Amino acid sequence: MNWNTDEELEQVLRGSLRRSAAPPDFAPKVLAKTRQPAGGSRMPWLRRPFTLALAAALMAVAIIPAVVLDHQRREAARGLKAKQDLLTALAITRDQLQHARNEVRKNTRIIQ
Amino acid sequence: MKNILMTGLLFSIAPVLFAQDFDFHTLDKLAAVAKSSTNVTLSGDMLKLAAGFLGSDNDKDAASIKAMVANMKGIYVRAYEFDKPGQYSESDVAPLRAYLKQPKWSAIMEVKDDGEWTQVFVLPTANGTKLGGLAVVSTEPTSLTVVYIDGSIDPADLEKLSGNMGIPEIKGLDGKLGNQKGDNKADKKTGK
Repeated sequence: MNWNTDEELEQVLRGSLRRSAAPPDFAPKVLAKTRQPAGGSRMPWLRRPFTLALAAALMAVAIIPAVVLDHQRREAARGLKAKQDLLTALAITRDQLQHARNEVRKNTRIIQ
Repeated sequence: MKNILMTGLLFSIAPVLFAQDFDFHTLDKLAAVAKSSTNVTLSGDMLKLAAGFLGSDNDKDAASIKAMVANMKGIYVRAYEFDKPGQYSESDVAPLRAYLKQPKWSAIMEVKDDGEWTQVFVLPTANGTKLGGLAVVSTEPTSLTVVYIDGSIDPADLEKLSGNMGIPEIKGLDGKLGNQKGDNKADKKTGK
């Protein structure tokens, strides 16, 4: 761009750099931005109650079955151990009673 | 008021006193010196839990065993096998024998033979149709077995218990089949 005179250049510059008033809500907007936490503006959807509830529900869906299964597995192991103990106890009782009965029968035969 | 409180207290501690009478503390220490030991303590909820699992593996006669243990309060077994005679003493068993000498218990079988002493006791109930408990104390120079069943037992169950009743064979503590113990001894005697 060619300027004929220095005066012309000065006039253009003055026109471009003329002071203009800021919009009325400029200052509150700037202040509001400075008050926001750093991450808050990046993913605002993450802070919505629905998102939080959904995340909690998904976590529950993932964790509860595992806890229930683990509890059931432990109960089953405890039950099977108790059943084995019961059968062992009954078998020992049976053996002792059979043995005593056999001995009594044998001695009775000897006496006869 | 004081009398009511005392009566209540007596009723509340009676089961504890009873349990303490038939306690296995004198035997439990033997596990440390025994070659092998079996310790079964099934009472209350554990017994119900065990009964609930009967039939889970198509157990033979599960229904029969379930019916038998339905009214039992507890089953307690202590069985020990020792390497050599003298590793336990009669004083270890004496408290149990003394407890079973009480008039409420009746000895229905007793075998004393060749160092062996086996006693079978039952606890008769007032109505006479059922038994209130069963106890077996069997000592041999290298083995000791005590069984205590607490709770209502039908006398017919004793018959069932002495039969096979679908209860699986277990290896005896000495490695032999447990229920052949009596037969083996009888054979030995016959062979002499």
